[in-house]
Amino acid sequence: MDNNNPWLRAEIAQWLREGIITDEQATTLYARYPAMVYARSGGASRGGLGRSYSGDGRWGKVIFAALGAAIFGMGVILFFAYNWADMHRYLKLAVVGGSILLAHIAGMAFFQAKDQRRSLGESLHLLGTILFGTGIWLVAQIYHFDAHYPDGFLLWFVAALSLGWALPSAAHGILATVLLALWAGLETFEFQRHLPQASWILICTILPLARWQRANSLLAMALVSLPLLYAFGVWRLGEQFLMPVLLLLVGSYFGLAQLAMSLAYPAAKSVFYSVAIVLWLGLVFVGSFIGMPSQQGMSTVPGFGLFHLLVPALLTMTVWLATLLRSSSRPLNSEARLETGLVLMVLLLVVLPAMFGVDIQGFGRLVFNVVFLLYSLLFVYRGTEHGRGKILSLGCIMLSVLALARFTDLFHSLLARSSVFLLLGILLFVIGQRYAKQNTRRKLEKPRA
Amino acid sequence: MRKGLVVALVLSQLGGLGYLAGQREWVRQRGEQIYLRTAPIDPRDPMRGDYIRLRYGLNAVDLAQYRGKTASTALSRGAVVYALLKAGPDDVYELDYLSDSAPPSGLYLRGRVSREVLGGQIPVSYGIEQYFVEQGRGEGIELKRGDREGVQIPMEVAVAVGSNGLGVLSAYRWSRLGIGFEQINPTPTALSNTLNWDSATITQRSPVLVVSLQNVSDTELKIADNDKHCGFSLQSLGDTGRSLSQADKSCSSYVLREADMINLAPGEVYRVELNMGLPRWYVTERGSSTSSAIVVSAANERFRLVYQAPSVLPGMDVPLLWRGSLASPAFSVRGRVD
Repeated sequence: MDNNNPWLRAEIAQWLREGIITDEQATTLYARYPAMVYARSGGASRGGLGRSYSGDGRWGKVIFAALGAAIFGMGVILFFAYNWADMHRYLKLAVVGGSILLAHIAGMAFFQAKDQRRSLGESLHLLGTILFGTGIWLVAQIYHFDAHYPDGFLLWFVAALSLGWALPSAAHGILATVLLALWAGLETFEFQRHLPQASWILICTILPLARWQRANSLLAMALVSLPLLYAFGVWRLGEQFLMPVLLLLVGSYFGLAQLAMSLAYPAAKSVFYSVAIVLWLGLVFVGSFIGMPSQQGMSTVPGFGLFHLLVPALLTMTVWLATLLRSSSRPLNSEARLETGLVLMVLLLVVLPAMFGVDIQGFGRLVFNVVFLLYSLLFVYRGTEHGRGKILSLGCIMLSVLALARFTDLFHSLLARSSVFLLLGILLFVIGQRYAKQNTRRKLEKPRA
Repeated sequence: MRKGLVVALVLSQLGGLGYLAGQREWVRQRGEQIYLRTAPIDPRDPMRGDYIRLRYGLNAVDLAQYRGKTASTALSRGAVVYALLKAGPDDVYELDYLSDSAPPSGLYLRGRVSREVLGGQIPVSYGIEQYFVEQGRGEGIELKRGDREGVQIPMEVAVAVGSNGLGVLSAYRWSRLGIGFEQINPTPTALSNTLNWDSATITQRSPVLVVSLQNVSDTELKIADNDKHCGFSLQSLGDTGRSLSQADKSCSSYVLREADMINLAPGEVYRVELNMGLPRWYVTERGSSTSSAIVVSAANERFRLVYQAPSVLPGMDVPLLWRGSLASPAFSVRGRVD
């Protein structure tokens, strides 16, 4: 039965996408066939912060379809960038218009199929939409117009998003997300325009598409892009606000990962967690150098700007309250509790006081260092305990990186530096021994594991 | 239902491109064809290939040429403005005035304020500042226009102008007159001579500009200049926020005299040396009653030297006279910038 569990859950997701079952029916079915605990995670399907089995089998399809169409489209862009002087402009327009039409007609023919050809149809539709974007620049080239070029990306985004919903297509959603980020980034850095609405557009248009389609790839893309877009909006208000806002946003992902279990999209848990941990560790590591910048002046940010700064705080507070109050989402085992504690430690000890105007730069640096160290040890423990080599390697690399990072700015005495490296060396040796021992024991207990 | 929506969206993609292209094709076919003189530079756009970036005289509009209801200082970046054009010789048009509302009559280009208004000029772009060429052909254009060490020949681009002020580039040709520019900076000895700013020291410390006007056409043409070099004027770029203008106004209404005419055979060059330390080239800041040499009061400012053909009295027949204006590369007393 267990062997069929992933297949069944992928099928449920597909039935949802095709409208065969409703959200409520999907929730009931998911509850009847709960997510299989990742074989090497050591238990606690809802205890740990995101280690349940994930994958609806569409990650590869969507990503390769998107990449293939994007690279082909890039080839077309470069072909026309040559700007064939002997080719009449009407012929150029006809070639681009015809290609768009052809790609979409072929896409429609294949998209009707219920088998593998459906993916091909989606890719062809995506190619048509990429050619449409190429066409915008081609028309500008033919008529030599030098318009406000981020508008081209906005127009392209609208085309990709609308087809993403109409088909529906996760690959179009990914393209739309990239275009939205490009538009907002160019407006922010090239034209110094403040565009907080970009992150709201993502929240209101891309995230619902990802949920509707149960598309992990699109959800991951949207979750990575959201802090980026939010940062573009915050950048114009003041660079010092970036760190707390990003920590709050990413911190909320951990809570949302826990809450996702009770949604009709449980696979979202692993996506939320994976994105959150990557971004969070990056932020904590940066914080171990810069600490928490002083948040003086936040109260002087006018109107919508202040709202823009406070929304992540409200979101994180609500999410974590809901996570901790609901018994179904509360962390149950010690590993999950420790991980939750590390997230809340940063949010409560560093971000919260900073937002109230407390100058916490030095203390913040200390907390970030401690948190990064504890994460490394947690990964080392998890890797050795459950025989997960990759997690163990990550933990060891984090430990070494932290020691190297603090080499110059913490340990002034050569003796202290030498002791740290000796200890680290011994620790890594011991970890290696323990991992080998645990692995041997596992093999003895479960010869085919 | 869903299939219908997909079909509608696919058609809207084609419709969107059709609108972008059709609007410009309509202007190209039906709009009025004019020429604008430019000073090109040539970068590359990774999305669209080689192009020539064009700079027109009407990209930097003097505050004196602004006649809008909104105060010029209140014009924000992105504000829509209208440049009313007046015809010059050879169908080359020049700016008459800039306004914040569409002129009731006449030919005008619709543009947007491209940067914050600082100093004495309003920066405006009209969406016609790029001319795309086939990859590799930009090199030929670059060779033709010349480089900073030699004579530069400005392009004159053909622009179709629609009734709503939309401009569409369609072709280009070359000016018949080219300009060469050289800046001779004072020797270190001249700079270390003294701390006194008397007129002799100023002359010693000021750069000397050597300007060459060359007939690059294959027919004879005439230009005009006199002892005071009234054919030339100094123009501040105003990009540091200061509003500077030439203090000497004796040449502001330069009218053509028979004696000032200079014949240039094909390939022939007219060369002048202009010492920026002479009172003829002193500048004054808006609102100030004093003037001084640029080496004294505007060492960080950028300027252009502009050759402007004189006005011709009615009844005078000078068919070979080259009319219009030609700007040198930008320079500052610290060295050339363009």
